[in-house]
Amino acid sequence: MIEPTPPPPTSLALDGAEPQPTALTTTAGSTTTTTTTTTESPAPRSRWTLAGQRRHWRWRWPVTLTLRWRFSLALLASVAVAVAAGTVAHTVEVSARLERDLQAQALRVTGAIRTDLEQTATALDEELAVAADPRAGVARLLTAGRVETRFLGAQARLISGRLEVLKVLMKDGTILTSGHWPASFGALDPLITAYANEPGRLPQIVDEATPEGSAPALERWTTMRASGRDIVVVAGRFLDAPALERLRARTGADLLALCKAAPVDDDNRDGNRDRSRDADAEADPISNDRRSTNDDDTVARRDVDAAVQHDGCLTAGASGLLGAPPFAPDDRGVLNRLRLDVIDVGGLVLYVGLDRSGIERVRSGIIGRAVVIGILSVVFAVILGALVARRIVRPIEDLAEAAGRVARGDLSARVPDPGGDGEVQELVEAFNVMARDLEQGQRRLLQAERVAAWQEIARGLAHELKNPLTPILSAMDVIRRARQLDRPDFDAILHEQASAVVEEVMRLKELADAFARFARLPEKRAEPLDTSDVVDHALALYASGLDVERDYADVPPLVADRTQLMTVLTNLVKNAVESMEMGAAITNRPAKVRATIALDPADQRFMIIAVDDAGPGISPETAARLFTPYFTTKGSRGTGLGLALSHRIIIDHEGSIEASASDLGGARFTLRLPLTPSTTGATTATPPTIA
Amino acid sequence: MKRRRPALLLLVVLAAVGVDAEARRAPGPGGGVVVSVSTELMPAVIEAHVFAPLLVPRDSAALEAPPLAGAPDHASSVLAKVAHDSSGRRWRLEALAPAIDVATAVSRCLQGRAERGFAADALRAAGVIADVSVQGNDVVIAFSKAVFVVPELLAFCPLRPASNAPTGPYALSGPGRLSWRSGSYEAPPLLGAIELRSPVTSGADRADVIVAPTADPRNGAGATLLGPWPDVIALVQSPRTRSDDPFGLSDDNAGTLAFRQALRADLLAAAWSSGRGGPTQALLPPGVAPARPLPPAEGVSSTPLSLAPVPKDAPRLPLTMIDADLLTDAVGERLAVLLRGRGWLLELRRASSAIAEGAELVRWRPPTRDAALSLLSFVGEREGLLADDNVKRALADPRLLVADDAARLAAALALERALLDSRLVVPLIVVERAMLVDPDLRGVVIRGDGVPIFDGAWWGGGR
Repeated sequence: MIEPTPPPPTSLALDGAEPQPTALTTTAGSTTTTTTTTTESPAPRSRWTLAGQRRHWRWRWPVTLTLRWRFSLALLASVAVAVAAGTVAHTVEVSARLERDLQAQALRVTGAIRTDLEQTATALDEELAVAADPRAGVARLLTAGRVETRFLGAQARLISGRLEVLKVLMKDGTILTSGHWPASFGALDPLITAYANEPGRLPQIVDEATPEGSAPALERWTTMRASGRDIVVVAGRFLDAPALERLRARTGADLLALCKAAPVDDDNRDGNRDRSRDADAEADPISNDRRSTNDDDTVARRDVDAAVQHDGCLTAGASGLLGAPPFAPDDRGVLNRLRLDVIDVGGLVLYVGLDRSGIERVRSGIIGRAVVIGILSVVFAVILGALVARRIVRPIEDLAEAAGRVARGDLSARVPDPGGDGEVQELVEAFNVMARDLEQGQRRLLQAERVAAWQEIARGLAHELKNPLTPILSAMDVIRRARQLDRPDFDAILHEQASAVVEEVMRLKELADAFARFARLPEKRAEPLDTSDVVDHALALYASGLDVERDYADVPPLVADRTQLMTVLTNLVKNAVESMEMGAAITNRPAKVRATIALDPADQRFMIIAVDDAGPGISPETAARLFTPYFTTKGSRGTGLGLALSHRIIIDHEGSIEASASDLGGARFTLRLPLTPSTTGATTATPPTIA
Repeated sequence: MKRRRPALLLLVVLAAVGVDAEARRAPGPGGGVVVSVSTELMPAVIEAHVFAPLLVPRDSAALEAPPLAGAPDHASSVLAKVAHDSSGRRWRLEALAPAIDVATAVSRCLQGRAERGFAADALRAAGVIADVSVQGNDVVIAFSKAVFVVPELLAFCPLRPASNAPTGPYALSGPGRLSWRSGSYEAPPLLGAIELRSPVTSGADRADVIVAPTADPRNGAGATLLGPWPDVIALVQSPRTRSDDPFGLSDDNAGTLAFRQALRADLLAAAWSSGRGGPTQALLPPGVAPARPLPPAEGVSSTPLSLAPVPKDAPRLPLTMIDADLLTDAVGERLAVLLRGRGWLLELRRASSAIAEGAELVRWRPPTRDAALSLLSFVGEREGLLADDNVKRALADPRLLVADDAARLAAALALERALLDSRLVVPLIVVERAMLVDPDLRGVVIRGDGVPIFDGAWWGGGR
């Protein structure tokens, strides 16, 4: 049985301090074992403590987690980490693949748009070539005698999606015929300034007037002479919203936005777009055209800028992709929804958008499925963890419970066979073997202790018996020799020697009576007692006249045999007084006795009764045999059965008795008694402990 | 053997009589005609052939018909006689057809339940309410005001009973297909079937008759058949648009003349109507109203038009075009040019009926040769015109519905003058309504409202 002694104040381990080893002394019968353990530190003020000599900071759980919980949490964490890692890896892989696909699609779409625009440029070239033919084309229109041919001829040559603008202007800008707006004949075309100032060999975006207002158009023009007049022939194709929508539908883009060129600083915000634009400029003659004419701030450019500024950008595509108007290519929301590539078209910027929300949807789908799988996995892990933990931890819990029982002295505790052949099985078997060995060892130890005790008793008894026998033999020898010598004073000698024999025999009888009392206690008659009254009575018998300190707490009645408890207390008080009398010369301390009555702070169902003295105390050698029958430090004044008898009584009351050093300088005997003993007796009462 | 000879002889005689009877039976209508007709005009064409008219002007009748008693300028196969009291407020129609069917038809035409009836619009503009009842075999019409032009109002009014059972020479036998039927109130037609096709269907340009107003006479190889009077393309402004004056018409004659000069209606008609039209300042076209003095069209030199860009927030004029054709479209786009020069933008809208806001570009075809009734129906369709006091005063002239043709014409011209002076109505172009007809197809008549009538048509030239 191991009982930790109260640690000295200096041995308390504070957070971050090294716990100090504290000696514990155990007593089991006459055998004493000593071991060393570490005292429990007080409650930590933080969750981080310095542990061990290496002073590593170690995490402490704020709450105590059982092994079952830790196992389940570990399994849960493993599943969560596995699902999260798998999700991240899968998401990254799928996203990368989709991004590659989107990039390939962007290349296809931008290529198709460039091809479309190049075909437009070719068509415009062809149309201008036809127009320049004096025997056909424009010249024929102008020389036609029929008014409808002149006014509607240009309209008849239009091809939707390819040649949508065909105008013939006088040099002063008067419209001779206009394919897209035939009724505009005779009006002045404001673009004549641009047509006159620019060579028109390369397509340019202009703001072409329409009956509804104006629309951006990609145009080329040429000047020629027909019917004796200088004329300007313009061919073009609209890039208005419907045209953008048709272009978008043809090329498979999700969004097309025709905007004026952003400032350079804005461009530099997005390196990807810069690279895309640079690549476009190198590959696309239209882009080159833009660079070649970028220095001239033409009327046409101003018109287009104005037209585009009205709506921000001309756009075609699903409104959900555009976001709130106006379209802003630098908007973070747009960039999240779209992959934007840039094509320079005749001085304007054509943003080609591909919907990347599919990637986001796939990503969200993966995460959503991962969440579902994660939840299912967690549920599965919880169930599996509970089952596995039950299977794995249950033997360990049984082991812990059995170890606790063993620690409490129940060496019959065994752990059921968990089955299997793993480490736990080996541990359980080892524990059971250990417990069995301990039980057998204890049995053997008890047997040996019992034998040793009886040997001790026999030795003491023999010693006690031998002491009176010697005077008796001597007296008998004196009487025999006086008889042989026929001493005249034989009667006196006989009387004297007989008296000595009788005295020694009486001692033998007294010895026999005390032994009989030790061997067989009277039946216990428990009753509620006022403990202070019993203690005061014992103090009054032996400690009257001394300095007595009473430290009585308000305690409930103690159920015990008054006579037997009185015997114990009188023994303790008497021993205290006698030890102070014998040691007064050594200690040179004033005699003082302190009686303490209190409830056990660790278990309120027990009462603590302590008697302290200021005597010389108890040496370790004495302490080891203190409760052994016939052991006494008082020589012939003691029988050696007082403390042994007290120990027996306390055990009979299901309590314990403990000897330790007192702060008064002497010894301290502490009784720990249940307020109400069980009816089954105290067969397993705690043996006395001496510190 | 001798006994069998009479029997054989009898059989031969009977067979000969039977063959002779089949040979002597009157031949039914035969052949057919494919007509390309615009979607807007198709219901009127069907109605004109499926339902017999209550009466028709004698000069427009397909076949020679006797005059109608009480209305000698009209003929009818449904009515036996028309008569009115001295006040002109009570008319009695003696019906050859069931009186209830005639009453239903009269109600539809006079009370506004007909799809293309002009009479209800005319009466509404004149403030006349009509009540139709049946008395025995007669249909009695009671007017709230004196009306002496009931035959003109009911001309071409279809006899459409409540059951919609056909009463004319044809019946619908399929989608767009009219087949000859017996039992018509009119004389049986000569063609057995009429197949109506929309101009957008394949082969419509090779139809025997192309009736759509967008028909380009230049593209057809057939004969051109013109309507009895031309259409008028007019700009009808709402009162608010008139006050906004986006076309600058308020500057007395100068503004109007500048507008007309810039419009170049002559070139528009030449280019988009093959020259079958020209500018006009009158709402009543030739054929409906006689020649009359017009304001001078010279003296103002307009500035050159410009297509200079206008801001997006420039004022916009909604221009609704009803039953538009190429010429009307061109006029609309020309108006956009004019507006652009004045800092306005045009919103072209196509609709089947006039709207209250903005302006309306209408190709108007007077529904009848009667000038007064035509103008009344024109005004009756457009309540916005009543916002002008002069127009309202002109509409109150009782001569509009008198029996005297001269007095009625004078009142009509006064009403026309009021409409023109109000600047709510701006006539732009007068243009003929042309119809291409296969040269071998004879007897096709264009009704006053432009609907072709095939009742007396037949194939000649060996077909």
